[in-house]
Amino acid sequence: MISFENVTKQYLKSSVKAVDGLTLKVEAGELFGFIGPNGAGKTTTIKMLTGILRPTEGRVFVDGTDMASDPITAKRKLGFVPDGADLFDRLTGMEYLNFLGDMYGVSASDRKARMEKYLDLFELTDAVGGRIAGYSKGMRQKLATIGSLIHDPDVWVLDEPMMGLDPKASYELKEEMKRQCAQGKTVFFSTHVLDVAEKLCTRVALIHHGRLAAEGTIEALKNAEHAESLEQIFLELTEDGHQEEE
Amino acid sequence: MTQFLALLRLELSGILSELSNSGNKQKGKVSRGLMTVVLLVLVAGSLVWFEVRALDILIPLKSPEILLKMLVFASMLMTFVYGFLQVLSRMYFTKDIALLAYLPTRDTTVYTAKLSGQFLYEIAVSTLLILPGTVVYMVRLGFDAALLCRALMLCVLTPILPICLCAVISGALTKVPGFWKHRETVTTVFTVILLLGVFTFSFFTGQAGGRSSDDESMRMMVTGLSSLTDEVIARVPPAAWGAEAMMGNWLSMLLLFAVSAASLGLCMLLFGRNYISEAASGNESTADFKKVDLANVRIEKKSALMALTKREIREMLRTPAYLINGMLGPVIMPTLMTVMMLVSIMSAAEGGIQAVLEGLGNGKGIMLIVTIFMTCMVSLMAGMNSVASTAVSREGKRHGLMMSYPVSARTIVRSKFLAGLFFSMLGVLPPPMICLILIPGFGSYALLMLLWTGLLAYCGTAAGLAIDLGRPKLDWINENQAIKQNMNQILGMLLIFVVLGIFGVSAVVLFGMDLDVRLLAVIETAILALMGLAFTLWLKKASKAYGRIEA
Repeated sequence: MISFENVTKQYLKSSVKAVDGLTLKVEAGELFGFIGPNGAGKTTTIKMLTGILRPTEGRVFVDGTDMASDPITAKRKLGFVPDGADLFDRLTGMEYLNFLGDMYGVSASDRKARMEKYLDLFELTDAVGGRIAGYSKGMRQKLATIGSLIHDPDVWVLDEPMMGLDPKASYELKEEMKRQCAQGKTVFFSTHVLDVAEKLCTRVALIHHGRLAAEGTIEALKNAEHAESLEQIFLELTEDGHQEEE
Repeated sequence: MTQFLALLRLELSGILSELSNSGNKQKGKVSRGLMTVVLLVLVAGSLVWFEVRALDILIPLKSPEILLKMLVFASMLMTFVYGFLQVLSRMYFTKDIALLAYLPTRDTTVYTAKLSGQFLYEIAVSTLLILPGTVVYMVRLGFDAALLCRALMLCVLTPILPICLCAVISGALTKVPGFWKHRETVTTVFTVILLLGVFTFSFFTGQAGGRSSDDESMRMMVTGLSSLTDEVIARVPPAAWGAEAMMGNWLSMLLLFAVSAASLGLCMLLFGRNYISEAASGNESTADFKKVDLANVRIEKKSALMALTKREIREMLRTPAYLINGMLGPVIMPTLMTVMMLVSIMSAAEGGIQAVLEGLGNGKGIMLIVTIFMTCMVSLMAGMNSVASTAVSREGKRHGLMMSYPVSARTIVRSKFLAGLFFSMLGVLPPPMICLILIPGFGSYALLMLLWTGLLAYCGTAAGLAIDLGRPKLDWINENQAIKQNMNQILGMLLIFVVLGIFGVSAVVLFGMDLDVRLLAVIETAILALMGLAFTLWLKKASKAYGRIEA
């Protein structure tokens, strides 16, 4: 479903490679966790996956469609929850969802049904008539999440999705992620919360200094690193000097 | 005291960074610095020029001291008029209150530091206004150390009362029920009133001498301003104390000082003690959301282009910073100016516009000249519209969000162009209609004017957007920086002035060739159409850059 082929990203004004030769495949029905320390390259990778940034080298495929050669088709298959939920503050929640519906060409009836379902699930119905500028961080995150599902995407990409959510919304989000996977869809999300990744993901990848440090199921990684938890693996692999030793 | 100084430093650095538009980038610092110096020289130069000319008129009338009184009055008036919004936004609409609220400092300390920051800024402005005038006065009438000393004291004293008044009004406004909910409307309405006031004042001041020679017009302007100053001084005691203090009455200086100090104390007493909780309440009251009945809500599916264009227009209309700085003036002013100009000609000339036209020859050539002149005037004002020239910059951090949507860069650029053109057309559509109603026999010329102003609006929109696509400013923190402190806005305006120059100069050349009026109109239209085509091609090329922008 998602495929990174030797993807490298070097920003125009930087000599450092934010992502360096990343090769990764995520299949349909997988709940994939993308973890790594701050500045490791997670958001850059997600930005390349969603077509926001162009890779300096390599290619990104979404359900077999090359993001570089046919970005519109590839983007149609994606639902994206951005980091920090920087949304269009001057629109109301309702206008924002309708705007996204128009962007993805969702019919009025489907749009309405999904709005009702997810606004109810994330308890945002009462606030959807207000301007986004007046929303709290968590409300913005919920709205971004609902907006990303408005076109029922095959691939759901979430950048730090638990940030700012209350425990109930966080629980509902995790449940929804599982439901999407059960329907055969791909969920790809980045997180700092290792417990969530450990309990939720079918597979994880750890990125450090822009390079893929480890990848596999939690069990396989634990066995390979002789560790008891994902946290231990994370600390081990992201320790300074570990990669050089490798 | 340490806390006060630290807070004052914070406030001043905020004001300075707003003025310098520097952000964190080193790039373009020199050019921005040069631009600031050029602007300052231009403003100071115009002021000194006015002061020299005013003295030329006032010295023979044996009343040069009127200039000094005018300076004191102008300093107080400008501090009040322009300071109100600044006090309101820097003291009550600022987001840093939330960060200051948890610090172990008293409300009065924060209030005093914020008010002092505003005072220091206004003192700098009044110094720029009063000091050069006093120097010019002394150059013409001889050095007077006491006058210089008084002028310097008044540079400090004159802003205090107006700023205190602004602080009192702002503080009182925040206590009005529903104020926080409608604060953006209050800001916008006040700005519109200010805009209309300044425009009307400058139009009638300039128009007073419009039919006379330069000297005559200057004399009328100076005498008009001096009688206005006298009138205000007679009715507003603080203005009278300031003017008398400037003229050497130390008792008035003392009175002004005492009243200023007392009003400062009153402000702190009234609004300082609960300042943080009052100012912070603005962040709390916004969570009053309108309920939506999802079951009965009507949803319509639109095309991506329509949705994007609608979003652009909504954002422009709902963001006061964008509305005030980028669009309102250029939309309102062409209509206002057309009405004022035509009505004043109608009332001033015997027999109205018809008589003026007959006096000029009343041939078809005259009508075409009127059409070209009106087109240039309207487009000059409408050309200051910066909706298109900041369209990409306004995306800011949300550029990534735009890029994640399954629409082509061309569609996004096209939506920005349509929104820009929409606002430009709002400015240029009414004037031809007004001309049609008020100028006898304008008929088909109104259509021609509409065509030309429309083509010029098209050129301005395309050129502005192409400029912004080439070098968008995405790293802004607040909306003011996105539009007001954006060089692309100025470049867009300059370019439309160049286009207008080409249009005007070619008209002069063609009139000199004594061509048939219809042929001349066709050639002028063709020139504009060609420029429109060139800008379209430029925009098409520039829009390819949209997808490569890395925020």
